[in-house]
Amino acid sequence: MSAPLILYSTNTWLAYMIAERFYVDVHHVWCAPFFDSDLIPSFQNANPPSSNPSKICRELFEVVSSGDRHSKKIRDNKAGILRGVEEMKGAGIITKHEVKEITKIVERAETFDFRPLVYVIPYHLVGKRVEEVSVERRAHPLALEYVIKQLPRKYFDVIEWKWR
Amino acid sequence: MFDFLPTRSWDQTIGGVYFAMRLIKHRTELGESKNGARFEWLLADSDPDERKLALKIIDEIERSAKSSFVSLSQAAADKYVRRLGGIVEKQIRKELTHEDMKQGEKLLQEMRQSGVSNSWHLLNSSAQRSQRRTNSKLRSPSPKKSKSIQAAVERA
Repeated sequence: MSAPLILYSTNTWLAYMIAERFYVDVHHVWCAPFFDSDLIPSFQNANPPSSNPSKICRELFEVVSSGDRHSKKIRDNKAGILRGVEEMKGAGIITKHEVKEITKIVERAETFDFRPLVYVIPYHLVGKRVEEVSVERRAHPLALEYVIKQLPRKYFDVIEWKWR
Repeated sequence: MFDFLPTRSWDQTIGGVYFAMRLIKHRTELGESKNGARFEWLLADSDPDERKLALKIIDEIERSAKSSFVSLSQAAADKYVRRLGGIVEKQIRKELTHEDMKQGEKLLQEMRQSGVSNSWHLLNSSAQRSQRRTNSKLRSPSPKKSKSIQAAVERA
């Protein structure tokens, strides 16, 4: 299969801002070559719902709209952010002091801070940075999953919905 | 449940919980296998302690649910993720003072005010600089260029 044109990734505003402020504009993203894999014929794509940027986006919208601070989606996202913090500390990118600052931020974050942002990533700019999940490790042989562990901000655009 | 978690170090707990949540989230992709390539991929970035703890969490879930975690209903899976998240939140609060919380609010406010930046600007900053140079030349053409433009206008 030829290289995709665009990769899409849904993340929370909070995760985005923490990467911007503390990780020198470098983001860690999971992405897919379709925004909504449900709209793609199944013989072309078999991405699991947990890797579907559109579905992740919808779920976050629902959580933010409901205002449920204890939703599993938010707790899951907090754990992801905090795990990322430990990784960055281990890599020497952030200091212990910054770890504490991020922890404080995550603790005080409101539901609205977990609103979804969609990253639109032109593949030709990031091709060398993309890691593709090998066929035997995919959820399905036809699933297309990618991870970019170090994605500089200048290589993608962000779509944010106006909420207010 | 998960009584062993608060006795672990903070980074071990967060890592173990994160990978356990990851396995739960992707459980329907694992079929019946708990050892396949997909399972290994989901744990690929974990260190040995995180992996051990994540598997211990999964074991505890399976004991409590009396079934394999891959067959958990969505409601049951959500319940465990919420519970694990609750333990993490409790541990965070234990680590922070009232003063820390206030500072956290302040940092959040600053972030909320700064907003999302525009990548087009970042990617094209050099192109934009050259565009600005061109624009400024157009706005204030050199006297020689002004004269030739004037002449061209008169000829027309």
